[in-house]
Amino acid sequence: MRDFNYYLNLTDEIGYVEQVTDAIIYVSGLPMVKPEEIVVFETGEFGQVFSIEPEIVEILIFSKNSIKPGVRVARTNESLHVPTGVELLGRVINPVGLAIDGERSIKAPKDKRPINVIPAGITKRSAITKPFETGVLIVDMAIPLGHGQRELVVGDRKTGKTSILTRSILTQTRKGNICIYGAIGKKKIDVKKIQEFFRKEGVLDKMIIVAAVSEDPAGLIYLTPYTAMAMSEYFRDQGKDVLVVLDDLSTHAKFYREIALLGKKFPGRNSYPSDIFYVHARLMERAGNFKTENGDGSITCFPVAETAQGDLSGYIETNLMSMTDGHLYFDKDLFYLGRRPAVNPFLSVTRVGRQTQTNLRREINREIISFLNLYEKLQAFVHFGAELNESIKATLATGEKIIRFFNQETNETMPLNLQIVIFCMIWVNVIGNKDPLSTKKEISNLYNAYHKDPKFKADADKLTETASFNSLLGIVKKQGQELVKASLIYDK
Amino acid sequence: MNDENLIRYDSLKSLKTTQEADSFAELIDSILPNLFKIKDSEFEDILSKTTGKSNSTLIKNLLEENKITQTDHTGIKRVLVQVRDIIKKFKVVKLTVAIDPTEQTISRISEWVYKNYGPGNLLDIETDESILGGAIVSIGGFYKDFSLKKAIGEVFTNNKKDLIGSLTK
Repeated sequence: MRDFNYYLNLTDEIGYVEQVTDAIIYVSGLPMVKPEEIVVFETGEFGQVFSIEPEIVEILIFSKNSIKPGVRVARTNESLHVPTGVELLGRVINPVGLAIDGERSIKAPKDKRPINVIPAGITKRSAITKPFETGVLIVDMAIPLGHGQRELVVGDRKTGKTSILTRSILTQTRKGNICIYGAIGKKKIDVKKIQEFFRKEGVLDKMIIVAAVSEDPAGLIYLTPYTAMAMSEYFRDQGKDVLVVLDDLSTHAKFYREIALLGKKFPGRNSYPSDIFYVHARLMERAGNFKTENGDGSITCFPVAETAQGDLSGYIETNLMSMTDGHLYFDKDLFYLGRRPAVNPFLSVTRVGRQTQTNLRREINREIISFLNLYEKLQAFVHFGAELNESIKATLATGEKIIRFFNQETNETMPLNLQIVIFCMIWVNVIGNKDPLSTKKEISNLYNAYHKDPKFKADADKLTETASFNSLLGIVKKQGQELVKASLIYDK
Repeated sequence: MNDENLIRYDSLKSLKTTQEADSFAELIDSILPNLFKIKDSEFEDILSKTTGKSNSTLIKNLLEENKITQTDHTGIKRVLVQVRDIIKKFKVVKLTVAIDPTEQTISRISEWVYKNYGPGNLLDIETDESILGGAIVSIGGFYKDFSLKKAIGEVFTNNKKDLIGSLTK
């Protein structure tokens, strides 16, 4: 970006700071200024036009430095563009594209993209057909997702939301896809932890972390999801599948509310401005499955919303639910019961994920949902202390095994095909008949064998090509033990 | 209000610069609280004690034009409050020049602004020797740099090759 005098002489327009109210600066002058235009202050800071009134222009400032009344302002005749490119992979940047990870300076990418664009129209979109793998058992098996889907991750704080996001990023980066993590108003230490985690896992060079920490100016925090989306669009246009995580939009809404109230916008429900739905919906519309010049590309979006005391009916939460293709609900009660991840399969929704599934996966999915339903009902009977017949006892035992199977340790992921095979093995009692620890061991052996033994992997993958669930169960009954035996050599 | 229009367009033309307007507004602020403490005949004394001849004449003219006698303190207050409000609405023409302008120059510039931009404008003149000559003007948010510094800079930029060539010969 050039200096103040350059833009002053270029546009021949000048403004003067009249009033300063934290993130919003009121400026007189600048008669031809446009909405969302970038303006430069004499002191070197820059901001974006937030709203225009007949005599005054409201500027959203992106700097922590204080601006004093009387400071001169110049137009730039440009909207906010951020540098985008492969040079940013592996880096932590702020919403205006500057590195904030304290490492070597970024080689400036050639491409620049506007951060706020009109979402692509229907002609440039295609149906969601590719399954999206998160590596999280309960999600992949019970609430399946597709590439290009917008899935809200909603739940109380400290219920494991971030863990499922990091696992999804791990799985996707390992599959060669690009991931963008948008940290909106998070603590500096949390951003650092996320960066270190991905570095340790060796996938940081496949992702970009766009972060505005809690101490950054409200204007900068407000921009974070837009920049994250602009980065995603760059890779999408190269025909890649991108996962963008916006962690979290509740915070984004709060900062937008702060800015809007300072800008004297009329407060609506819960004091949020009346266009909060528009702001988020416009952002969500930028995700999806697209036809690009370089082939099909997709942006799968995981916006996060935080609930208070498990209340799903909050304003921002319900807004986001209505503009996404489903949601994963993190249940506090399940979390306290020891379920990890604490995703409630009955309150979670996937609107387009099932259409990406093969016949086999769809059948398994139906079976799981109906079985979990039955298991929940039967568990209610157990509370009455009623005597149980053998069939109910068997169902409860299988239910426990399935729930244990769905329990994963933090950051543990499992490939989709292996999930199916192991689930079938548990279903037909090939594994999981001993104590929980032994079952865990059996699953761990199978996991190791799948990753280390190409023949084992090929055999397991072949099983998932079976046409129906019943046929697969028959095959697993016959061949399952052989696979288990083959995996025993990986028993450490 | 009709009174307001009369005051704005005809009577305040003698206020040319922001400094003059500020001091006049300050004068009004100092008069207003004392208006009801004085006797009928003392307004003239207050004016002569608190201000110079030009401002005193301006106030008297404003009162005359609005047909308000010096004993009508309510009327005086109304006019002065209006004048103060109008001054606040005046637009500012910022002018940066290389030398301190004389009174005559200021009057001529003010006259030019009045003719070209109409009434209701005040000059805010700043001196900056670094611009060498000419002026930088900003009015209503528009900015134009007519300075000698910029002109010379452009000559150097546009004829860089020729200048370097002639210097190295």
